[in-house]
Amino acid sequence: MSEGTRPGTDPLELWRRWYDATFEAWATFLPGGDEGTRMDPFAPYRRLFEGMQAEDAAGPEDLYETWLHWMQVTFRTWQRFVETGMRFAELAAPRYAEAAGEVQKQMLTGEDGFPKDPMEFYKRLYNATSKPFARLADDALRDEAYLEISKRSLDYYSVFDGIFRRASEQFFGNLRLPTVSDTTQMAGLIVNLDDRVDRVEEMLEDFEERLGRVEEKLEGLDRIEDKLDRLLAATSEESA
Amino acid sequence: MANENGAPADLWDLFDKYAEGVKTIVEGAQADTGQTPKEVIWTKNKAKLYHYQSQAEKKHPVPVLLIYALVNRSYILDLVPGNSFVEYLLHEGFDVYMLDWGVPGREDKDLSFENYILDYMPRVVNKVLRNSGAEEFTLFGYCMGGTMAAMYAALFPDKPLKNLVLLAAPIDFAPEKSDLYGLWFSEKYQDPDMIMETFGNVPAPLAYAGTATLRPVDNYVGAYVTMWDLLMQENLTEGWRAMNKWANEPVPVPGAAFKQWVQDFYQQNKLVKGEFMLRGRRVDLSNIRCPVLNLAGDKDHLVFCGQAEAVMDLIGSEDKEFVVLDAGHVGLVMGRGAKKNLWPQVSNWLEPRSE
Repeated sequence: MSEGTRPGTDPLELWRRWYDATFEAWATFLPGGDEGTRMDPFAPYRRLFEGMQAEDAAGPEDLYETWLHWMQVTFRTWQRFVETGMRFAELAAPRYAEAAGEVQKQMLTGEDGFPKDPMEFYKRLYNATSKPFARLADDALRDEAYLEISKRSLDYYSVFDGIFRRASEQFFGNLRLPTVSDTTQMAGLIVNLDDRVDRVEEMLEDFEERLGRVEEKLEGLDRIEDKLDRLLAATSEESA
Repeated sequence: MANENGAPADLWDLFDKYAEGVKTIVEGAQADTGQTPKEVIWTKNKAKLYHYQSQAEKKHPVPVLLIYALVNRSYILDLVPGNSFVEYLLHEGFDVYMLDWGVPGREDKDLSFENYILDYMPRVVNKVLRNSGAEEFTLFGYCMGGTMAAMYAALFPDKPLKNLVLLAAPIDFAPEKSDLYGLWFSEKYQDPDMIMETFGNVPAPLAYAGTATLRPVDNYVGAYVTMWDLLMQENLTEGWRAMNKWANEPVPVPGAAFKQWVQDFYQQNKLVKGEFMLRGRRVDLSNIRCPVLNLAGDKDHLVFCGQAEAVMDLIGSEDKEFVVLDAGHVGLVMGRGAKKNLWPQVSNWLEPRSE
């Protein structure tokens, strides 16, 4: 990214920023994406745009290299996509066969015969197929390919969400409109105040409790004082 | 029989049921949950401490404090009248309190187990004792709430803690014991820092998906097959509505607590190793010396029996009991099975220990 360029003014700079922030997630989305060269799927266009602006414009040979590289990476991406699909099909095939067998057993040749009521039909279809499909889901959820895809989906979603959130904050901030960060900050202050009030309340409660204990002791002292008074009175009477 | 428009009544009935089914799918089931009368006796940030009111005679002087997880709503313990653990305990003569962690906002992203265990819980315990006039109390923790209760008990093992009841409380997070969660939360596939940096808190839909995806066919299809079946037979039961409402009402999880949950518990299993620290204080489960009842469900797919059982060898209590019930994670506390198994089990165990 060129130093000192203000975001939002130069379309090429904007494109570069977008590319820098999101391409890592795109490039590694599919299993095995960490291996091999990463490539911007729009690299040829990017190079062309850059060439149109820069003085040292990319020549036709350079452009051909870029196209070639792009083709190779696109092919590898598709290959990984097909491999992932085949892996899933591999997992699914036996479970589908199992489900088909259950449907045959429970719905077509079962004691109750083929269900005539639509609700009954769906219910029995679910009962017949849910276990094999649940096992298929379980297999898939443990599968390395699924785990990689789900991790990358989350990474990818997080990157986009982060970009969108920061851009929104900046946009509304420039318009001098309150943003989520502002309300969060405000809420944080209220929470801190609430915490302090709670601490004061706790101290008061402790104080009240201690005061109660002191009062109890004072009552005890009063009783001792009474006894001493009575004792003194009795002693004075005796000596008189 | 036809109605005033000339259409068969059955047809209109079918339309009504269809409309209700679609409404339930789109808007989620509606039910009046958490109906047992209660008084809020303390609040801090989003957390609330409830004291349940009852007409029944209080037979046991030791109050029971219920604590639920950070990931869902606590009203699962007081679902609907007739299907409420809280209601049952009150009926059995217990004085019941519940700590509801509430729904965290974005400003709560830094709340961690340090805050919950060292700041909130001791304060709540003081409130319960002051309010009840008791000198001791029973701590009951369910799910992650159980793990939190065990941590509290390890850090504050002496009086006033009288009894500890753990229900489906994960303690051992070793990958071989925690199955899919262990795999999903492994360092290879989970980066809590990234989630915390991006979202602050774990968004509620993500938290929901994390649970529902463990059993996708049951949760995304089976629940609605049951719904249509119930609708077509007669109508949705209050229990189904309440359960569906609870399952579809997740809460965001504070980012810092989630990070600890994933890194310290699932990835490094620090609690079992005695390495988990809260503000420099080591959480040593062997400090727990009070009577402990530990319950788990053999059909629980969220917290496995082995994860819960692990605490039995780590605590220093002499009076301890581990019970495995024939139930899943939620079936442990609600439904017909819970009424027959868990509720009386807890009550019978607590009765002689609550004098």
